[in-house]
Amino acid sequence: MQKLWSIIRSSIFHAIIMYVSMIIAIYLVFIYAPTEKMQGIVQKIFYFHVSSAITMFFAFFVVCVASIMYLWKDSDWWDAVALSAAEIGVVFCTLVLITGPIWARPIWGTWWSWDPTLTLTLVLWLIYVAYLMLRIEVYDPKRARFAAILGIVGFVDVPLIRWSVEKWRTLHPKPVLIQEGGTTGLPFAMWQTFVVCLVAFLLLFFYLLRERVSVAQSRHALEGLRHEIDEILAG
Amino acid sequence: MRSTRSLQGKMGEPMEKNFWYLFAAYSTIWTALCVYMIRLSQKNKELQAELRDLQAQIARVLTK
Repeated sequence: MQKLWSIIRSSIFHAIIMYVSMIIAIYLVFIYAPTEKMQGIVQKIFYFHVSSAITMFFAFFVVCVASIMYLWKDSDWWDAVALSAAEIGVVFCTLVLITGPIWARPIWGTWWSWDPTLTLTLVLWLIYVAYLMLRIEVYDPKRARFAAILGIVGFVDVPLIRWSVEKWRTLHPKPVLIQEGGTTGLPFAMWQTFVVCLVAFLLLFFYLLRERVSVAQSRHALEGLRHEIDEILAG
Repeated sequence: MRSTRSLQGKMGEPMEKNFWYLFAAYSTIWTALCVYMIRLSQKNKELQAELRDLQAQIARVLTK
C-alpha cells in the first residue's frame, strides 16, 4: 500500500498521466470534435485557448492564496508556491495572448483590438511580469513581501476580465461554456472535448507547479548552504 | 463594420487557408510549453549539481 502511494506521488507518474491526457485531448480536438459551420477549422483553437485562459486564472488564484499564506505564516514554502504559480501563470497568459490574435485574424479581420477584455488581459500579463521581475535571482524577504502584495492586488484584474466578457460591449465572444440559466452553448461533442482539454491543462499546471516548486526549494537550500560556508570561513 | 465584412468574406474561403492559423496556434502552444519544460529541467539539474558541489565543499572544510 505504501509502495502504491509512493508511485502515485512520484513525478514520473504525474508526467505519464499528464502526457496521456494531453494525447487524448489532441485526438478529441482534431479527430472527434465536429468542425464548426460558421468559423470552420480555425474554431478548434478555442479548445486550447480557453483551457489556457482558465488555467491562467487558476494559476493567479494560487498566487493570491499562497501570497496571503506567506504574509500570514511567513513560510518559505508558500513563497515558493506563489513564485512558481506566477511564472507558470505568465506562461499560460502568454499562450492566451498569442493564440487569441491568431484566431482573431481570420474571424475579425484584425490581429488585435484595444477592446476591454483584450486590454485587461494584457494588463494582467504586465502585472505578473512585474511580479517576476521583482523576484529575479536573489532572495530578499523585503522584495518577497512586496511581491506578495502585488500578487494579491494583481488578482483583482481576473474577475474584471470575466466581468468584461459578460457585461461590457466587447468584440470578444460572449461565454458559450456556461450561459445564463446554467445551459451550455456548445454541442455535446464539443463540450466533452473542451472538458478533456481543460483537465489536461490543469494536470499540466500541477505537474509544472510541482517541478517549479522543487527548483525554488533547491535554490533556497543553495542560498542557505552558501551562507553556512561564509560563516565557516569567517569563523 | 470592418469585422462583420471580414467575417462574411471568410465564410466561403477554402478550409486549407485557415488551416495555417490553426497550425500556427498549436505550434506556438507546443513550442512554448516544450521550451519552458526543457528550461525548467535544465535549471533543476544545474541547481542539483551546484547543491552537491557545495555540500562536498562544506564536508571538505569540516574535515580539515
